[in-house]
Amino acid sequence: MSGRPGIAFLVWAALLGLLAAVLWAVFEEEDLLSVLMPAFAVALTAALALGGWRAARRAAVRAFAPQADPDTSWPAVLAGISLVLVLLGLEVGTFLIFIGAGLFVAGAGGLMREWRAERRTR
Amino acid sequence: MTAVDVPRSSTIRPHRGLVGTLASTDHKALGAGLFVTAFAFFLAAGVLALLMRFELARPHLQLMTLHGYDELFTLHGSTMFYLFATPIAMAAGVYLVPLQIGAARLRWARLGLAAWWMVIGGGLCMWLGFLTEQGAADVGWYAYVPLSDMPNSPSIGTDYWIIGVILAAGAAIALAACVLATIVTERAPGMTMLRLPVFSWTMVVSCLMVLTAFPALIVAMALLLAQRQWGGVYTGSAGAFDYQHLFWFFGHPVVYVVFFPFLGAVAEAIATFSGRRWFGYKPFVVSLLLFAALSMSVWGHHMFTTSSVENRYFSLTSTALLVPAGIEYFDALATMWRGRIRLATPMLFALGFLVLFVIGGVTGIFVGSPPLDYHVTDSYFIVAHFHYTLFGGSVMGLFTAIYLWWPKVTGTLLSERLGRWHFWLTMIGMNLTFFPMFFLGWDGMPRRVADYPAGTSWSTLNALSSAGSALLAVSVLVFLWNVRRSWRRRVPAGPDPWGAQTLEWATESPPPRENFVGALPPVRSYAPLQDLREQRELEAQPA
Repeated sequence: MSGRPGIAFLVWAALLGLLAAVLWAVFEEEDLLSVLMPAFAVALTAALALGGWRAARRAAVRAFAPQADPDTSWPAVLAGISLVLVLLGLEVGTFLIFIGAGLFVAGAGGLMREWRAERRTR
Repeated sequence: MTAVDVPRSSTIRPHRGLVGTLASTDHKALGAGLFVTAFAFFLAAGVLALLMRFELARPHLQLMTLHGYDELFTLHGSTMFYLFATPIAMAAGVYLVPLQIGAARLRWARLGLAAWWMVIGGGLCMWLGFLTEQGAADVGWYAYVPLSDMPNSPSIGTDYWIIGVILAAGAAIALAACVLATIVTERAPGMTMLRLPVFSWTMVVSCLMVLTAFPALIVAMALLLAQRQWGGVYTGSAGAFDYQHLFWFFGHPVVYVVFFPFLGAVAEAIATFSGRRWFGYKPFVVSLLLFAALSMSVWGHHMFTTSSVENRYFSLTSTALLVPAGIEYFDALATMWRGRIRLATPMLFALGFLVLFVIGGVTGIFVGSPPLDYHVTDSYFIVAHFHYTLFGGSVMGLFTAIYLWWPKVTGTLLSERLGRWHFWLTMIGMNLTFFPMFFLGWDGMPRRVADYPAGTSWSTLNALSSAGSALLAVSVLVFLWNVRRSWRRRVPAGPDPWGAQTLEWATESPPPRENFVGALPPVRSYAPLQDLREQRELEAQPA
């Protein structure tokens, strides 16, 4: 576990899996959700372990590389607000879904511009 | 001794003023903004709690209708969980984790920024219901089916509430992803996983739990919205049980999601104010992982009385929680043992946390036992139990964190005298409010009621409880006064006013945009500043 976050995630996935296995095998729980939900948690944590392992290795390679971040990001704010509007539109009316979707597209476009600018400065 | 260089980020344009803060990708501005948002919701939910307690101070209805009371306890519980406790735990992680691990930034900060706005939007959606004709949601923070389907709760406020919950849960997932990705990819050279500070470890397990448990809430709420619109999703008793399974798969872990980070804060405070390293670091890490895994495996104990779950299994896992909890208590006591204890305000709150949470934990063993749970389920005993864990755990831990890291975040000191007043008022108010509820619940008073019969012992106990809640309100006012005073007087704190142990105290207060100017101290353990201190003491000793 010392340098690799993936190991910590795997340990946790193993503990979750063990507890779920006791529920399924020893106590013979057959409820579908009681099987699916822990299985989802174990699978997701295992995937995180794999992803974390790779990400940590890549991060170690570029540990000393300079990084460029924008200090503010209005497109990210727009994306967050647009999600709120889209979901609220489910109740208030279709017009709000369209407004939210439009703002989301604008926010996503802005985020693309930011990413490009970031890559140019590296 | 060699210092360690950390990666630097070059900012494109520094932000200015409030408008810039609202869109800042700096993890400190984002964390502080999220923190203030969550604390505002805490105050709002606290006002609702006060109204409920005023109503219950005497038998019969005084202030509100039965339906109005339903709305209040729904918005109180859901605001506390979805808009205060979870976001504020994540805010602490967003602000502190990069500093503790020697990082210059938060990974995926723009995702975190969008999540902050989703929390604001989600909160407004939930509270929007008060402006509708039929009122806000009246279904409890759990919104059990069929009580939450359209015939039983026809208000559009309930729909807004569901949308708000989905937004808040989505935001929590996004924030947890940011913090976890930061820990995975942005650690300073030398900062291995087994050198992460205790608080950062508690954030690791909290974030893992958010990522694995919160999707179940989003599924449950999305299906509930569909059920309300079209029906046919949660049908019959099987549908009701399915909903409860989905909800409690999230609903129990969330208690730990909002507990672990503050346990981490308490651990940092105890180590700092005992002048010792945290005792048993590795067993503590293992116990955290076990604690989190067990708490993902106990959801069925909320359904003991439905007879639809394997009670023996869920009782076993619930009782087994004592093992990791015991390890953590042992670590805390062993850290203080023979330490040079300073009873500064953060330490007082940390000790308060230990005392109150043990009451919540022991009564948790009561309700983890099906025969006892059958007796007290849906009674005020449960209300008392979970307030001892959530208020005694999370809120006392939160104030530990606030008093501990306030100098770091603001560069100024809070008043110790007002801090002590705040602590004692909180301790007395908290116990006066919630301890009588154990007796009320044991005696059979059901929860979620606005009225109760006159001429019984319930009247006295409820009056005591209501008086305690007023005292709690006063304690919060004292805290706000302390904040105002600190803000106006601006007594400089310096980089490390407490003699702390972790990396965030190696930089200026408040930290600069890139967190660390110059080289970091070498990271050889989870307490690099303590390493330096001990090395200096060794060097100062005559050969």
